[in-house]
Amino acid sequence: MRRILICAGVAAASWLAPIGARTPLAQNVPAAASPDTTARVIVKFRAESSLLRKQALSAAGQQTLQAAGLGQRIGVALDSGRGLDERSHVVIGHGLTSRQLAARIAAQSDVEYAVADERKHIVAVPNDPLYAPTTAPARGPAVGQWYLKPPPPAGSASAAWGSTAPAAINAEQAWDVTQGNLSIVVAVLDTGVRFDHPDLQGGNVLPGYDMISADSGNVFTTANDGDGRDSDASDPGDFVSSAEATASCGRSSSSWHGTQTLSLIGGATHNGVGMASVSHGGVRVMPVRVLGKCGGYDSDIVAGIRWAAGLPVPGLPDNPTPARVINMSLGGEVACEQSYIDVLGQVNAAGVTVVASAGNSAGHAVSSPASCPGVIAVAAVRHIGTKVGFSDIGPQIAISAPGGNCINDTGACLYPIVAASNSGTTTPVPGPPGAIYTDSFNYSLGTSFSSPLVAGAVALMLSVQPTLTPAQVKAKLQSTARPFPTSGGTAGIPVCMAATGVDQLECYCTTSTCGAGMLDVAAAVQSVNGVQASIALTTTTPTANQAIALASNSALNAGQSIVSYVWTILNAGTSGATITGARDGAAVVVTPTAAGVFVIELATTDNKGFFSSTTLAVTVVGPPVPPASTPPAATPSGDGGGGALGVGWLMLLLSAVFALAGVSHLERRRAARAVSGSVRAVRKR
Amino acid sequence: MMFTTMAGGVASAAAACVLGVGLGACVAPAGAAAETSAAVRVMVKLAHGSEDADAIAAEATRIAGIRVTHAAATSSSWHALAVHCASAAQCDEAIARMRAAAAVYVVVESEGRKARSTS
Repeated sequence: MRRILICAGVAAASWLAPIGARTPLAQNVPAAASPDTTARVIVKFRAESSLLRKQALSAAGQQTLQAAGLGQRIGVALDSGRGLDERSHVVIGHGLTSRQLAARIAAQSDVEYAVADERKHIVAVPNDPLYAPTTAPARGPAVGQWYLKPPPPAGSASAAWGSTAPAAINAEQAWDVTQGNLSIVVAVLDTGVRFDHPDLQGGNVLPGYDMISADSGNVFTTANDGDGRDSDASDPGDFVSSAEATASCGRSSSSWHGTQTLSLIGGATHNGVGMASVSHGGVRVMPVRVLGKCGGYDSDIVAGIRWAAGLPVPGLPDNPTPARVINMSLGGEVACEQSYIDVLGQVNAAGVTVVASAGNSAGHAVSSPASCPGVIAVAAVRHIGTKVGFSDIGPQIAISAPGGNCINDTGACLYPIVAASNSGTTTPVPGPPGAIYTDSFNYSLGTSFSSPLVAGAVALMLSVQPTLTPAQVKAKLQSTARPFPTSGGTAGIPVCMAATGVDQLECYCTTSTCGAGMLDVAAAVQSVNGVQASIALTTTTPTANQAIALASNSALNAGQSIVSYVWTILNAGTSGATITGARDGAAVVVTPTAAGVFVIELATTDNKGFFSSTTLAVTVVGPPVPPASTPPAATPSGDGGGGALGVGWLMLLLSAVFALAGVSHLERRRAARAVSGSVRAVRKR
Repeated sequence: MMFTTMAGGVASAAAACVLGVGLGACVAPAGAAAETSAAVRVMVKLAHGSEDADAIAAEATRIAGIRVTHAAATSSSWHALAVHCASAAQCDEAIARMRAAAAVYVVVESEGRKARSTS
């Protein structure tokens, strides 16, 4: 395996820090230096430094003295580490970061330089030949698999981009964190797959299922394999002959579309063959065949969604390897159907993240199922980050990713998406002659290829944090997405507008048309690569004047542990809630004095230095109401009142009524005071 | 009870199918058996889930007043049915009768087709 060592240039914890805005979800950031933080700095003294005066000591002894002397000057106890040469060696301190220590040392006049002694990261640059830039007469793109690479520095000139571009999804750096986890299965609902393709021989392609049923009776025109639903998900071809063509379904060659999309997600990587995939071939991919000639029926697609997620489908064996991610590079020109709404709600509830392509109607409304709730809808951007002409857009879009764009009207396509395919125009061509790739001269374009890039990113996120819910996955993808460019597109292009039924070709994306931004796989993976704070409320019915138990339910990866908990009441509201006892343990006890809502925060730090916090709003009910036959008895409450009809209860009730009625906060407070007073007045009588 | 708002969708699809100019709602693409040229596929959500395809088809035939066959199941609740009608008007009437059978069908919607998203 060819790996290239690069200088990451930042400390491990800093390097792993998430990029982009924070979300309402658990936040994940590197912690500040704690007393047990160890700093390592390489220091080189100037030749005239007094600290270099020769002593009758060994080299190691001299360096120990140098470190001690330097430490005295800057007020940090320093140990001596490895010596590099006569004037250079590593010093080690505690209680501050390497960068902080380096800054202090560098300020000394007799120090030539001081730099943090950083961990270096292994960047897995795959050896797949199509990944690298190719030169004529090769058919591969001149920029290789540009879209998987780190983007160029923001604002850099296009002449300096080399084999990457601003819309590149930065998978390469994500592979330093994870190259996938085979426990994660991505279902690819498509035309099936050519199992014999050499880039699908990594042992991670599951058998899947053929979900295409009969058109009617014993007619299997759509399926094109002579039978209905069965366990053979291989793609027999979806060509449409002249005799089969209609006005709505023209003559076409076989697309091998499922092989293409599946290979983008999970094709074998770093195998010296063909292409690399987003997941580095490290997750399992499962073909579920739902499309044949002229597409596929909704009933087969919906059944495929259910089966992929491990939900039962009448008459079929259960899926032994349920998917955590479903990719659907397909769509139709209608609003989301109830059958899709139902099934997507069910699979989301089962923890399955669904990703779908926006559609290719040139800036029209997003098609179903991408338009459905519970789907991460993906639009396509050009290499520079503007909307590519064919992509549909709309408020349902969650994020954008490259879909391929050629720039040239003739000749080589400059920024295609590389995918595994087959050379057969009707039936598949077996063996090496048949196994081909889309490239600069045999290219496919579409949101079909944007969606698998996102699905692969989701698979990597789940590889490091399997507990993520579909909603969390979407939020993290969006919060880590890079902003769309606002300049640099083709001269004169407009800003993308809401779909109106008129074509919109290249335009500058906005967050209301192309989603939160451009996919950044490394940032998305890094954002979930640490403790994920979560609070469990263990008291069934939080009640005023009773102890309420809360506990950390935070998610951790293998080898991680939580080293710090901090619980804080952010807002006690009317509940008067306070923490009783320790606030730095895995669990905490809160005692409210009245009904209301309090907001508590849990902040955690893991042993990798990741910090994550989350909040929970807890609704507290008033004390139990005595039976009606019992004479009212005064009980203490937070506002000094109490009784059969507690003030807290009334306040809570009033709040709910006001919330429904849209009454302003000020008006609520006035009314609450009035009610509180009237209740007290009643008691006085 | 929830009904799809695509009241005209099925009828339109049916008309297209019967006229032989569309694939969306037909039980088979062009080139399939001639008997399928006048059938429309719908997705129904049963009020009471069942996996008995024959019984589902028989009840649909009774309600629709014309022959309905079971095409595919997606779950015990959702099934694809083929309504075999001779004209667009007959399709509309049959499907309207199914929609009216609220005790049997929670949803009756046109079954469409999806296509790969390549340009």
